Amino acid sequence: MFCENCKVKVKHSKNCPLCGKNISENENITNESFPVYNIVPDKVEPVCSVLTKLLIWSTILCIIVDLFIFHTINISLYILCSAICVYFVILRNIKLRASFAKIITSIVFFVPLLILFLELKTQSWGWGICLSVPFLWLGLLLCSIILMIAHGWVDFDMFRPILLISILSTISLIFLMCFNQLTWPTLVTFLSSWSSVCLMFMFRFKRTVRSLKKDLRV
Amino acid sequence: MSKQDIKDKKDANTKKQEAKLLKKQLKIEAKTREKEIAAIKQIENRALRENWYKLDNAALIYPAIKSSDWNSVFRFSAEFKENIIVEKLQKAFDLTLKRFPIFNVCLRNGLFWHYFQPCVSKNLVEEEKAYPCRPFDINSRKALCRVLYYNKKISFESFHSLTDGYGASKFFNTMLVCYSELCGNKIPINQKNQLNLNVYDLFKEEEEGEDAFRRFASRDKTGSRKEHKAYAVVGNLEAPHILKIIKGVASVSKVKEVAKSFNATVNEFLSAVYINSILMQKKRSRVNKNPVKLSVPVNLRKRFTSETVRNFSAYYNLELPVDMENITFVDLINLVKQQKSEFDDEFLLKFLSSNVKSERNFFVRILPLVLKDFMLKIIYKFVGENLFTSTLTNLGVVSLPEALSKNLSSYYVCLGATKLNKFNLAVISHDDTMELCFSSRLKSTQIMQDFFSKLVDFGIDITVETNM
Repeated sequence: MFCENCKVKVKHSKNCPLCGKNISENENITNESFPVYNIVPDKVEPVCSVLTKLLIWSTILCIIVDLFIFHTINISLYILCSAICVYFVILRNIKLRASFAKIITSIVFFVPLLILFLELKTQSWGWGICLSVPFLWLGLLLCSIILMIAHGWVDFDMFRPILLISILSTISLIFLMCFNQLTWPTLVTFLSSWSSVCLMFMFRFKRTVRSLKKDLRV
Repeated sequence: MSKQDIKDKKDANTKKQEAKLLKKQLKIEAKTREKEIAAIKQIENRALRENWYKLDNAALIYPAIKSSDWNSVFRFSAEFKENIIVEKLQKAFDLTLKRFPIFNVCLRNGLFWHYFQPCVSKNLVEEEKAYPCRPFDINSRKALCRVLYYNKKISFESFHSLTDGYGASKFFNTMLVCYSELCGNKIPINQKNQLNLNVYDLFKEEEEGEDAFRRFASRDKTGSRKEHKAYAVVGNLEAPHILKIIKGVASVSKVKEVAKSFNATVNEFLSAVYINSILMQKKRSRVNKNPVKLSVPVNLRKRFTSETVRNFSAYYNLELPVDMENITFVDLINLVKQQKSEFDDEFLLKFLSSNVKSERNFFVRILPLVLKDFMLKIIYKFVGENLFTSTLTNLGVVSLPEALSKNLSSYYVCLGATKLNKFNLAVISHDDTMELCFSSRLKSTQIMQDFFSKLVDFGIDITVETNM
């Protein structure tokens, strides 16, 4: 077929692809080179992006209402911190279809931050950094170890959250000792996390080093 | 009951017991065999997971700039004269992946950098159902390349981090040769070896898998990346998962003849025609702020000797300044020729050296991956995509054995398109056929119409085809 308008030959189509003009009355022309597309779009992505936008706008709205009506940002600060935590722990991980290791890593980091903020903001010092945070880390540490053993010691992705827990519990322990606070829950987490890191180095040295090398790209 | 009966009963019982024992033994043997196979598979998977590859210098940007509905993917397609046999295509794909193990990898995140890890799951050829250059789910542990078939057509799609046009063409051509042979088409071994398309060759890790950027980068030669922002075509976009393909077929000899009449190469001539059609669109939209700029990738293997199948290409931007927009076509070709001559080996060396220098920077190296990706994304948004209006890639003449090219009716390449660079053009030639493939996210086809009309005005016959 030939399009008089564009002066080009047209293949497998009753309309000219360039100007859209109808050039054939044959309804049965089929395209042999390309399929008829019938795509069901991914629903996770749009749902996540809608939820993210909703989270951002509701936080902004709260801040505006708080600032202009109540002349304070007390309540909106709680909302802002919770929104950041919800985004990084839930929405982002769903959106990226994150692995267990990634989910645990984000919980290890962001949830204690939220707890710390609540503790400081409500001036109820003691329950968060001394008890909740170390027990949360301990629970996540156990989860990581169980998942790693369940995978038959093959997947060393879990090494990352374990190492992160060890480093954070060390910092936390030093901090608590300096300020003379309750230390035994953090000490338990500190000992169990570093002992699991040591055990991994002792019994799976090559793979642990390789995992570290991969992470550091050495 | 007689003695004989008792004896018979005893015999029957012992036979039953023996049969039971045999069944038990067989079951145990089958179970141990299954366990052995599972153990061997586990060992193989472990060995695979223990191998890993660094991303080459050019590959680092692509995982960072991915978005929810787009990542940098390009496609090679070849149409045979007969329908595709799926089983043979699968076998050819498997053999080619063994020949180039660097293509059978998934992308993983480290603490500081991304890295490639060999895929454990089998890569299956798929029937083409979606639009071309569908983004890869790079967070999953699936391979970053795929093979698709539809009627008589085989397509190979690859994530840009894995390879560039040359590497992909080498993989694709090797697979086509292998498939053709499996279908009973004999291809002389000397032809295969001459073109380096033998699927049973061994992968040369040091030569074919090297990061050539690092080898050629020089610490002394670094250049500035300062450039003007480019004109971005404005228009209504198709839905994010839709990529419009408009393919034009022309005669190589005719295009060469016309280009020669302007004393230009085919690449220079096509660049000028393309810039001209974008310029016409710009004049229609009456936006006169930024200049039209065309990004042209360069295969560095031709300038610096390397056999790598990983990324080893650079690009230069051809620019039509705003005050020169009333230029004639002859002057436009001269401008393109003059600008192209400026992009010599020295320029390319500076280009690749400055990229490698950034990668080697101590502060960049110690930055965690999340921050690094975030920064790269911002940098690309402001000084990457903005610097060119569109891309024109010309892969030149594809070299295939004669016995294979006889069976092909079409061979073309198409690039993906982004929200900002809404359309691109990829050109490839085989025998006396030049295939010019536009990929676009724009609803309007005006630029393509202007481009092909200009070629028709020069006396070049064009046959167009679309996927819409």
